[in-house]
Amino acid sequence: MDKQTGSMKPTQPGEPLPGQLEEWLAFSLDQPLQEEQDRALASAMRDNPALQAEKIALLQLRSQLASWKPPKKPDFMSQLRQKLEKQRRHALVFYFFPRVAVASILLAMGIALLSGYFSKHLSDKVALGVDYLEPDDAYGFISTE
Amino acid sequence: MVMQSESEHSLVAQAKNGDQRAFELLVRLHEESVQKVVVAMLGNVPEAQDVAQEVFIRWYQAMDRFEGRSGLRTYLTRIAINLSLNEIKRRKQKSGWMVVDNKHEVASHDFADDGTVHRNWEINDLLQKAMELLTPEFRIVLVLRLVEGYSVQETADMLQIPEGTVASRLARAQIKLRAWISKLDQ
Repeated sequence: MDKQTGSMKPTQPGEPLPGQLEEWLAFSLDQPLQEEQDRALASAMRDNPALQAEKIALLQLRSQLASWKPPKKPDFMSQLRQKLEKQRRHALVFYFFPRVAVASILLAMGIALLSGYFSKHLSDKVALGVDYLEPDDAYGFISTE
Repeated sequence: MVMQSESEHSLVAQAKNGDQRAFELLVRLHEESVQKVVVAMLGNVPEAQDVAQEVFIRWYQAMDRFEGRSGLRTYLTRIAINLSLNEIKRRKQKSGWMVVDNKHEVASHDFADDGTVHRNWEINDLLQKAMELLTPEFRIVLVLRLVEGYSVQETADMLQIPEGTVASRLARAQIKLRAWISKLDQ
């Protein structure tokens, strides 16, 4: 066994160690073995009924795994729909929130600047237009009434 | 690699154009496959349902970037593996799981108070419980190759490991699984 890759490819000289034949057998169901290993396994398979039974058991296990199914979840789709809808709402909030926040800050700053400007430059009299009234204007008002 | 069939390709195109029905059809088409990977990796726990749904949510969000070169099933399987591994990491950080001698994870609820293993499981449950006893790197190859039916080469490509490593992990996983199943089934 190659410890770095976990591969069984490198040849093992001499007799197979206990358990090795079993591993080679399982390996051979997915990948070809090296010649030496293949020969050793084939010869063991001929004389070893336990190994023959092991092969049958492994094939049975593989067939059971291939037909293994998790329990069906009937509400999978409806739950997924709800989660996607929630995601969409979140996405909308994340899309609009920074824009609305920036616009609100700009508006607040504008209002603050304007109100500062007016409070400095416009007295109550100016705001009411009293500064522009001449005494004669008073007659005008009286006469119109 | 598994290529997309013509009808699936057209459904993907429709889903990309915002067709919700096409998206749902694709979910139904791949739901079982995704569930298989996730439940085999995590066990039949409530989080498995969330992770399986998250797989489709991730795909939905990245649908515009999905080019279909590897086939939707392979693409979803990759997401399912990654999310399952994240969930396993998250679990390890929590205290609900314990690690026994040779790194075999065992869910504490699998054992009765006296330490004996619960009996009389159906073969489906038995396989699932036994798969849960394998470490994630063994479980992944077993799920991809023997449950999902990918070839050794496809499994190796998906996990970016050599084919020999896939086959040797598979061999050891099957031997361990056989031993545990006979123990669990006693």
